[in-house]
Amino acid sequence: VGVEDDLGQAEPNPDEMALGARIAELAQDPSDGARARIMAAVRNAPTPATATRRRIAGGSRWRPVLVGFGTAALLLFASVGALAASSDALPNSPAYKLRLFEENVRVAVADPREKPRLHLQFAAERVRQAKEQIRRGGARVAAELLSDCKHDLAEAEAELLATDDPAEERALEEEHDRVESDAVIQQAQVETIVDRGGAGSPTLEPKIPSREVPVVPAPQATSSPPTEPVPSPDTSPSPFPDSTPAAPVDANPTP
Amino acid sequence: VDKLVAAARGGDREALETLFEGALSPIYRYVAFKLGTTNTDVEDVVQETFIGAIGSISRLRGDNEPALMSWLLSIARFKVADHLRARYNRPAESLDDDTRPEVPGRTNVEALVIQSTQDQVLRDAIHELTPEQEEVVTLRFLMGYEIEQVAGIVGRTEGAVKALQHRALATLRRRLDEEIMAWA
Repeated sequence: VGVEDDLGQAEPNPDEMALGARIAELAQDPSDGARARIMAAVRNAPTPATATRRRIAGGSRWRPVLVGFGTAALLLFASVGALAASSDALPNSPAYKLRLFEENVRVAVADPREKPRLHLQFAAERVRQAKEQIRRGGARVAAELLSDCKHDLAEAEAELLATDDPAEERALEEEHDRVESDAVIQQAQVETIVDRGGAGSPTLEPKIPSREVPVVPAPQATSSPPTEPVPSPDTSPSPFPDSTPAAPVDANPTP
Repeated sequence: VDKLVAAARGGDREALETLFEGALSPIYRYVAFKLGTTNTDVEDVVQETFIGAIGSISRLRGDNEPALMSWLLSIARFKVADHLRARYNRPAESLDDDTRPEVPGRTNVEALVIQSTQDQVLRDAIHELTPEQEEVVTLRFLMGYEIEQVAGIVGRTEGAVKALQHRALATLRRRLDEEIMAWA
């Protein structure tokens, strides 16, 4: 402690200061252009899904109740075979709600350290199913699966907080990134099919829903002499919340 | 800043963007040091760091600037490591790659080579420091933080940070002198 204190009191000598300045030159400040592009990408980046759809209300004080209820529900489903039938259900099937419910129950009764892995497992399964659907031309179903996959990934990310082991956290993060990359690739496939008007996706909604342009009433015809033309208000909807044009940057890079 | 961090943790996107704007230079400098200042991917990695940070705001622990910087730095480290891993897995780049920086025509090539070699020696020497020393040197000289701020980020006393800095600089000076002697 004494040595450290002695060193701590010492002011850096000129040689040390010169070396520090030399080290500083190994890095570089961002140019104005780079700064602008990075911040534009940050502003355009979507806010991640909070995944509230899947979360069962209630904190740790409800956990014993949930565990009891969940176990009973699992036993009930298992006994009638519904669980097995719903585990592969697709979003266009009535059994899909049962699948979501089953997943919620499994997460609720799981050990907190197991939850991120469980969410990643659900996400990976959805990506696998989306691939299969794309292969069969079912872009709409694939899009819904990928949308739910994003919720799973967001949940997994949030649950990573409960992981105390850095090595385990790192492994889970790698698995998360792997599944996410796979999902991004499948999403691109779906978008390609939609852009081409793929036969398998005739009812898939466009990514940006069309907005109705408000109708500006035409000026009333009157007998009064013509006046100076009044410029009509610009009614075209802006895709941006403010007037600043966004730079064309990739806001969602593949990790 | 502390209020902004608290707001950002509460989901205030505008607050988060304001904080990122303030942290952009230090994070950029860190990534530029790790990848090399002439690397054209620096901007992409910084961008990925901030976008990744938006997605993992729930992992930000603490309501102050040191907590924010510590969190951002950990994400930047992860993104840099990912990038380096991907680079090693990629096939060698084409010599025709037009993204390489151009060397000015009238540049003194010999001076450039010496400068580049010395930079590399210093860079290698920094990587060979103990993790604690490297962290202090990175935060202090590459990212430009004051001793007090570095202490907050690394969770040590100012005295301990000064001591680590002193030892790190002494080690670096010794390594550089050894290299110069080897050349002579």
